[in-house]
Amino acid sequence: MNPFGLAARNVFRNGRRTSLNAIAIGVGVAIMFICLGWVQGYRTYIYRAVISYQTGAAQLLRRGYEAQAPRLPLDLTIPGYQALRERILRLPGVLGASGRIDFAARIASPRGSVRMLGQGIDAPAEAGVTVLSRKIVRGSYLDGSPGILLGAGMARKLGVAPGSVIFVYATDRYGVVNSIALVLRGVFSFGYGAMDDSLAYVDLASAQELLGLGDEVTRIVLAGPRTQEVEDSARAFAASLAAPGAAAGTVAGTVAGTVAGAAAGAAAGAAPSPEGKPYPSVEAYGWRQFAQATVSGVRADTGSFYVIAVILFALIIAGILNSMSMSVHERHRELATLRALGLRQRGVRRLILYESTWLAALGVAGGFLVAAPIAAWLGLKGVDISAYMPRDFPIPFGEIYHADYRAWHALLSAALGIGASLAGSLVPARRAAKLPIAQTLGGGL
Amino acid sequence: MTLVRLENIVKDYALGRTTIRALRNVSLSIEEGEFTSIVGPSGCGKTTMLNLIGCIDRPSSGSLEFEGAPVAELGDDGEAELRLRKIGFVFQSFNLVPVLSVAENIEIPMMLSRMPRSARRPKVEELLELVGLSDYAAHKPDELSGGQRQRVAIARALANEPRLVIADEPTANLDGATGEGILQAMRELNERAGVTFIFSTHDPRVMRFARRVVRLRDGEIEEGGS
Amino acid sequence: MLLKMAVLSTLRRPRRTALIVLAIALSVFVMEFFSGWVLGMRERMDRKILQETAHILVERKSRLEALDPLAPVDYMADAAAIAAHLRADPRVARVEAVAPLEGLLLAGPKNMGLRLYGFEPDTVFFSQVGRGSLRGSFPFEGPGLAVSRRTLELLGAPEAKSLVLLVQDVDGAPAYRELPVRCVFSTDDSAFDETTAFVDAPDASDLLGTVGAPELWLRLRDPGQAGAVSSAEAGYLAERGCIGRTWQVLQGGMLAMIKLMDLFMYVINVIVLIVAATVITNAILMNVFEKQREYGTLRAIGMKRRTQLALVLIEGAAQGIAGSLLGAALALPVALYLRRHGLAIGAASHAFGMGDVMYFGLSAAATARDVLVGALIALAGSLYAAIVGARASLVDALRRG
Repeated sequence: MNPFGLAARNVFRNGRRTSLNAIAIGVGVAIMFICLGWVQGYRTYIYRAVISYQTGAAQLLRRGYEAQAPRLPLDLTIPGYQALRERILRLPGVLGASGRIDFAARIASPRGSVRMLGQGIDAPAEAGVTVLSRKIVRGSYLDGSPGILLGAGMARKLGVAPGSVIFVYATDRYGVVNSIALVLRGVFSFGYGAMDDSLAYVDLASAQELLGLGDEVTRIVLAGPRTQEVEDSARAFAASLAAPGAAAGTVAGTVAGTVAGAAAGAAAGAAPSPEGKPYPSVEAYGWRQFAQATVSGVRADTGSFYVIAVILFALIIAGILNSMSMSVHERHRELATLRALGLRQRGVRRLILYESTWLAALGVAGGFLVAAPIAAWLGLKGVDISAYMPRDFPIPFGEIYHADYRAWHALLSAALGIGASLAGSLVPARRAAKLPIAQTLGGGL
Repeated sequence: MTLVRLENIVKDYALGRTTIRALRNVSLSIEEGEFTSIVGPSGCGKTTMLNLIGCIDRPSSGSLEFEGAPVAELGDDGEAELRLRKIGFVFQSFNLVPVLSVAENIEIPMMLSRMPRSARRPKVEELLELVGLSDYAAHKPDELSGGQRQRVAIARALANEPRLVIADEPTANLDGATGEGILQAMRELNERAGVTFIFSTHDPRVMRFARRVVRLRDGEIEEGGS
Repeated sequence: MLLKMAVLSTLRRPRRTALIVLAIALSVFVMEFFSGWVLGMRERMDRKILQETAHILVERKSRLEALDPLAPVDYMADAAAIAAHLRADPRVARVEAVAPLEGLLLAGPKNMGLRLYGFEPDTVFFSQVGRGSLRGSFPFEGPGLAVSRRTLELLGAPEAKSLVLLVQDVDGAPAYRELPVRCVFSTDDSAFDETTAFVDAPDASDLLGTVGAPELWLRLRDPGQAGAVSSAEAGYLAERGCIGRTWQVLQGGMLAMIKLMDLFMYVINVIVLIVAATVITNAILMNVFEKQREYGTLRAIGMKRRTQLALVLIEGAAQGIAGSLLGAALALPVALYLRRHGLAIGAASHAFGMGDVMYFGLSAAATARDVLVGALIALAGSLYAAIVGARASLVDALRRG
């Protein structure tokens, strides 16, 4: 017989009360666990999709572009793209850099024409930044020679196939409507309607020709294994371009190590802007800037989950506080007797807390029993979201959404269940320990 | 050797807005090996005195010494230690833990004093035999009669071989014959093992068993004190 | 007197009563919060349907499959005749020709591509534009444009009195015209503001070189009749190569979204209620057991078992109602605030068709329902506890406590 064993038996003394409390804990733990994995899925799948499909880890844009983004301004470009790209590739954490030109395009085939978002891409560079090159379902990816890529659905609607000639119309930077004929090189499919149905990828040179641009792009997309590092490098680089020494063109040794040092080194060792004038201001943005619907949606969902969790656990703690108090009250003579026999105050406290732990163990076990099959289904089989999401929903949920369960989710949920139980028992435990022995035994030993 | 010494003990209780003086300037010495009963009408302070001697309550003023050392200097943990190793309790309403078996109830003080489990088993058996309940080791308290429960309580009180056993009206909830049996057992333990017994009672038959009687009335010792 | 006993005994143990009342209040608050959210979505949806968009949209069938729904092709040349026919249906309140088109607005060196609507001068649709007009008014008669303030900002011409509208006409040739800015508006949906503008119908058809209208928008006296009206006219429309789509189909995405939110919130409510129910039931059970001796005494002097049951139930009901009302009272200011100012969850709210912020709704019926549920939880817990408590025999009850 030991304190743990006594505690266990005390817990089972009142089956009803114990059951109710265990159910409460179990529900809290189950919900916590299920939701943690669901929310992790956002980060693992959706954020990753957003970054690898479109936004990259960070982007560089001309200052003022983002504010004017709805009109797809062609007067706010980043000049000297090729040289700039060389410098960017030397930044710490950056593995890929690719320039793009965003423009309003009208795509025409013999069957008709449709308005789309055109993106001129530096195809070889883009392959190192996004997964577009791996999403080609028919034909082939762009190789730098003139060509266009369309989404599978749009290609079908336009009645074109790889090899067909497509006309692209756009208003150039001078306000003149230009057109260019391009061969459809390949058909892509991200499985994400918002991109598949609205984007047309054109090789960079053709886009520049169509829009009356020189060696300019509207954005440079950066990629690297650690998004924060890429973002930091981008910011440092943008800042260094604004620094007075940037246009000087003096040769300086590259300082390895610090981000700023490397960026400054890269900047200092490069050629000035084409006209020798000060370089136009460039702004760096993290990928979240370009996925606001996704990020805010995930945040709202995650936020509401945390609020519910707090409410649930507050209820659980209150319930256990109540139960434990009652349990202590019912046994007060017994507890005073144990004290009279020589049990110390901390021994009484520990007894109550052990009981609380047993209760928590029951609740946690029950909670996982219920949650495990649900988690397994959500994680392995996933949920068919496509029925609920409109095709142009701006969050790449994909057709089947998978939650992502990690070991720490289970540990955290269990810890919270146990923590809540203990938290609710602290006050009753203290009260039990402080019972005045003689008084509690009530006038008689 | 003087086991317990009370000097000028005063104990007050608050009852609503009034104060009740349960013990008025009581002085008493208990020697080792005594078999003493504290008697008096109900409300005279017997229980209060036993509570103080057993260190489950503290006097309002006066000094209490156990084995020559002042109890007031012990903190809460010190008192608990004292209760664990030196003092045994037998309660009027037995106060056994209902979820534990008879053997486990007896084992409680041994567990508290960290006696290794291997040593506990034989000791429990020895005690069970002492109180004549060897066959009831696995029973739960609510399966036993009043007398049997009290005997378990006595066995429990003796678990850590205390110097002093305090019993408050130990036979109050037992019928005459059973009560006598209990007292006989206690007396035997006192004579054979030299365990000091102090018990309270208002039953004259029980008083007969005591070698020394201390009479209390209205919180003061009438006779038998020293 | 039973009521007095019940209420007084709850007051005797303030902490436990507080626990029960607060648990119910919290549950009701959560339910109110979420029903307010979904209500807000529904209200927005209703407003969109009732005031801003069509109950039934009639167009040529070929347009549905069209590559470019904004191209000036597949117009209904006989739009006027069709409109007249549809007006004859008593359920139809109004029929209008609406011409969505794609155009470029130019101001100096800057330009911006937008979707424009060619509208009739007395249009009853697009009420959000009129409501949000900052300069001028909408709708208006005569030539002109209605543009959002944001659009003007982007064009770098916030005070512009006129803009050039450039379109591609039926022959594919560019056609442009300078038009006065007759209205500048700002709605609660920045995505709408940045992509939409309005031009008077005569100028639109003139520029495009079209005859007739591409779409006929119907407003019904009762939007619920949309399905019936659509079915009734289906034959007539089919003969003319046209088709009518109801608002249920047109707003299908938003409806699906609302259903999803409904389900989500239902699940959350259930979960919170389960946990609250365990806490409440536990607490009430404790009350009952503590009072065993008291009940036993009352029974000994002649009270019947079912009266004991009633006592427990009344106590539970009292706490339930108190808690529910408290929860509703706490939720009310929150709901009012969010109804006025909305809950900002960022760009995601556009994805829900909600505009820039999520406005909450308020409904007496929903509140009454939530209050009832809260009280029922307490009542259910009490019923269980009462049955369990009343099982004890009199003697046992007297001995306990």
